[in-house]
Amino acid sequence: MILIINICKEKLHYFEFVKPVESILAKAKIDFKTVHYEKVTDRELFNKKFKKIIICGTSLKDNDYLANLDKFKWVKLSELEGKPILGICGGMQVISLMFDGILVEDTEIGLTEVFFNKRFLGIEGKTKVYSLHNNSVLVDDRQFEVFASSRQGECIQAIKHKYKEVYGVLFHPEVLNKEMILDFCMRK
Amino acid sequence: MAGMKCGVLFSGGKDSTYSAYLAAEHNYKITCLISVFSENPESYMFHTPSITQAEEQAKAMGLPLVIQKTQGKKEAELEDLEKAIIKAKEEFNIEGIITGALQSIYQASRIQKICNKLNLECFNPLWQIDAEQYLMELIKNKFKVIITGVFAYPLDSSWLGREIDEGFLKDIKELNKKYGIHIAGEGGEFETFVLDCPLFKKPLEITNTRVSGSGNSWRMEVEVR
Repeated sequence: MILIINICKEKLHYFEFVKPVESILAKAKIDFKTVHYEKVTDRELFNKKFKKIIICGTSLKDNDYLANLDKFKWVKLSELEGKPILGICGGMQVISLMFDGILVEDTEIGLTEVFFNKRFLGIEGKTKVYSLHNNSVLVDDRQFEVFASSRQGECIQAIKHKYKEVYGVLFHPEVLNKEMILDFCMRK
Repeated sequence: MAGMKCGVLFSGGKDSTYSAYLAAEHNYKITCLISVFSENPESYMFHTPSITQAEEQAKAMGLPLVIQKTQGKKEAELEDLEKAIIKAKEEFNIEGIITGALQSIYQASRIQKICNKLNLECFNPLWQIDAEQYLMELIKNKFKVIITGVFAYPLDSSWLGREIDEGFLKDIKELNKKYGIHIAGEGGEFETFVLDCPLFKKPLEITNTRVSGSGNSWRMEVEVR
């Protein structure tokens, strides 16, 4: 079972940023439970029935989650060691910031060409993705490996922690790269 | 407590109307509808059949309609859309835009860019929705939606005026299996007009229709009151 974390400030954005991820899991008959980041409890986070966690994205104008980073301390907790986490867009920004990364202003909206230098959640090489962000990240390269970028390496698009099962994608795989979400959920 | 003030990019078809309904259901305050009237029937951005009847639909919802005309040339359409949104922002103090985008990255990303530039929230509550589930929701929520245009084989003039109901869903699912027709018409296979829904104070009645077309491309202009 997957624990989905909703980071949207606006209720209506659930339909745009969370429901499409839920639909991908539902179609693949993968059980899930969705909880808002402000309401998620330790009991849910540490519950063994939730094998993996997905942190979904939110809208271009929504930066509330960035002002509430203390609510995401669990991303780094050793008690969660071994529980894979995938952060999408805002979710990747949260992961990067929790692991000493830096946020930088960078806007990409729409179809974007991304180059994966190594296989990442089933994807390799040049790939078209859907982007929707006003911020990107610079990661601590002692902790994270960069797997993909856009604009000749200018904008980091996919990362994985070097020692943990913690993944991040800046683009929205729920739009054009649904198979990546399934790869994350199904990989052993 | 009333939520954020929003304008709906409104075509009169099922997608923009259902998005408006979802927003209202979640306590957003819809303060105006925004329609771009394209003079180009092959518009890149806008749903064109029966759009002049949007005024009657706006009246049925008790909402003001912000109107912007466009010649329908590819990039000029976007400038006209931006003008319409600016007008709505100035006149109705909207803080967000609601669209009926389902899957079109071309359409959605252009509206996102305009909203980002104008510092407005952008809501796409039907984004990536499962088409069959969507039509079932329309039926369940008592949307009276008719087909006003067909533009793909094997659809023909017999589909004009058909209501989206269980029978329609069954037939369109079969055409989806056989010919790949998108169940919600997202590929431009068909277009729709809303005659009634929970947002309307009274249902609209068709007073006149004008059918034109040939083969697998037909339009039905409707007059309503």
